Formats: sequence, C-alpha cells, structure tokens
Amino acid sequence: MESVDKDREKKDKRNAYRRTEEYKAKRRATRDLSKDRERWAQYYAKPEVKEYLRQRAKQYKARPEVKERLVKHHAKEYVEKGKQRGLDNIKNLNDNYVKMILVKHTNLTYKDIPKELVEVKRLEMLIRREYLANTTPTERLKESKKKSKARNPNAAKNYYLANKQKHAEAVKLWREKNKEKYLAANYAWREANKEKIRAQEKARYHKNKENQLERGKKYREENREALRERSKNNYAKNKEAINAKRRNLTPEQREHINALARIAARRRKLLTKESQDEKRN
Amino acid sequence: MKNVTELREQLSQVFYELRNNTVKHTDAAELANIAGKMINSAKVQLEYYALRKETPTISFLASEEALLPRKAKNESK
Repeated sequence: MESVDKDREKKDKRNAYRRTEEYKAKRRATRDLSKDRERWAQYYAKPEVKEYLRQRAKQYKARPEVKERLVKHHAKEYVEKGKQRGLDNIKNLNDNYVKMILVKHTNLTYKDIPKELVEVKRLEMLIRREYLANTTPTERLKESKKKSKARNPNAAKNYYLANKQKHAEAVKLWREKNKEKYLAANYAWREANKEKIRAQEKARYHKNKENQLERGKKYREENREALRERSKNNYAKNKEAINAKRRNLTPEQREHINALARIAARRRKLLTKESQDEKRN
Repeated sequence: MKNVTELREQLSQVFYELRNNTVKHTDAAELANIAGKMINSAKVQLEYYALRKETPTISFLASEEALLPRKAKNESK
C-alpha cells in the first residue's frame, strides 16, 4: 500500500509541475509544433482513422439524448435566427464575412488574413455597393461598352470584317431553316403595322416623287428599244394568258386600259407627225 | 500608395466624398476596382508564402504600427 501511495504522490507532483507556466514555456520553446501538426495531419489522413471517426460520429448522433438535442438545435426558430445572423453579417460587412470572401478559392485560412487587408477589402466592398445601388444595369452596361470602345475603337469593325462571310452564311442557313416561320412572322408584322407602313411608303413616295419620275423617264428614253422588244417578247410568250385576262376584265378596268391605249396612240400619232414635219423642213 | 494603410486612407476618403456627392459613382467604382486588384495581388503573395510555410514581412501589408517592435508598442500603451 505504501508503494501505491508513493506512486500517487509522485504522479501528483509531476502533474502539478506540468501545470506550471514554467514547464509550459519550456515545452513551447523546445517542441516544434509544426512537426506535431504534420504528424496529426498524417494520422487524420489515414482511411481507417477517417472511417473510425465517421462511425463514432454516427454512433454519437444516434444516441437518443443527442438526437433530441440536435432536433431542438435545428428547430425552425434556430435556423431562422442563424439565417438572420448571416444576413446581418452580410449587411454590416462583418470581419468574418469579409474574411470568407478573401479566403474563397484559395488555400488561405482566416488566420492568414491580416486585419489591415480586411479593412481595405471592406472599404472596397462598401464603395462597390454604393456604386451598384446608385446605377442601373443599363447604365453600367453602357459604361462598360464605352470603356471597351475607347480601349479598342476598331474592335467591332474588325470583328465584323473577319466574320462577315461566316455571319452571312449563318443567316442564310437560318433563313432557309426557318423560312416559313420567318415569313409568317413578317406577314404578321406587316398586318399589324399596315397603316404605319402605308403612311411611311406614301411619305417616301412624295419625298422622292420628282426624282423617281425623272429617273424613270431617263431610263425609258435610254432603253426604249430594249423595253419595246421585251414587251413584244413577253406578249408573244404569254399571249394566251394575257388575252384570257383581258377577256375577264371588268368594264371599269377595260375602260381604263382603253383610255391608256388612246393616250398612247395619240402620242404616237403626234410623234410621227413631228418627225414628218422635221423631214419636210 | 505604398502600403495598405495608405490605401485604406485613400479609400475611406473616396467613400466619404462619394457620400457627399463630390465624386462620381463611376470614378469611385474605378478606384475601388484598382484597389481590388491590389488586394488580390497581396492575397496571392500571402497564399504563396502560406504554401511555402514562410512568414516574411510583406512590405505592402506591413503598416508602420506593425513594424514597431512589440516592447515599444506596449510602452506606448
């Protein structure tokens, strides 16, 4: 019994010494903690250890009292509170939230980020938030377009020239593929905007009337014989169809055509008379 | 801007001016963008040293306060 007591005394003495600051400082100075950390990392990376820990966690969670506590912990109000806390952190740009953003997609930990960097990042985020709150997406898009244009003014033109043929082919293919759909859409649009189109065409006609008439006159004078030949050929080719059409004309249409023919005959007569007079003179 | 303290001061000034409408939002955003680039480069440097398990003083992140020896700091307190 005496020996047991002695051992206990010895142990107590040793433990008391280990609790002192002196011993702790000594140990801190002599022991390389990075090696310890590596050793532990290696130990926890072992598959059997991982499996053991997983099983232990599972068993722990399966215990009824723990289960009850967890259920309580994940109760709706707790979840809501947590969500609210998270939102507040985002709103107030909490240190941990900013650190989380800085650490994202890196191998850094929260401890690696210095305080100054967090402060600077917070300010940057505040300015960005202010900018986003006071501008619309269209404004931002315009701004970025302006910037890119200033950086490279010929980019759009170069791209167009480089892909001109490709683009034209793609459009052609698309049109062939969606011909009916495209035509239907076009027709629908025309139907919907009928009056608008008519007004536009009318305005355009009145605007360019004199020019067009003059151009037509000039063209007819220049290509008189060719036109006559073409109409002759056309008549000879579609003689039956034209005659059939003439036969089915309404009295009003017939009257109109006859009037036109009379004008043309009179004109021809006048022209022949003029040429005869010229010859006589 | 030689270090993070100067950058912080500059950014806080911009933020103050932004609140008082003396700086355009677009200009402030540009400055914030540049600051973001600087922060990211510092972050990369930090990550590099963390992976190499080194802890040197990064001149950009070392502010005047941080460079002071600990004893002097405590004395000033």
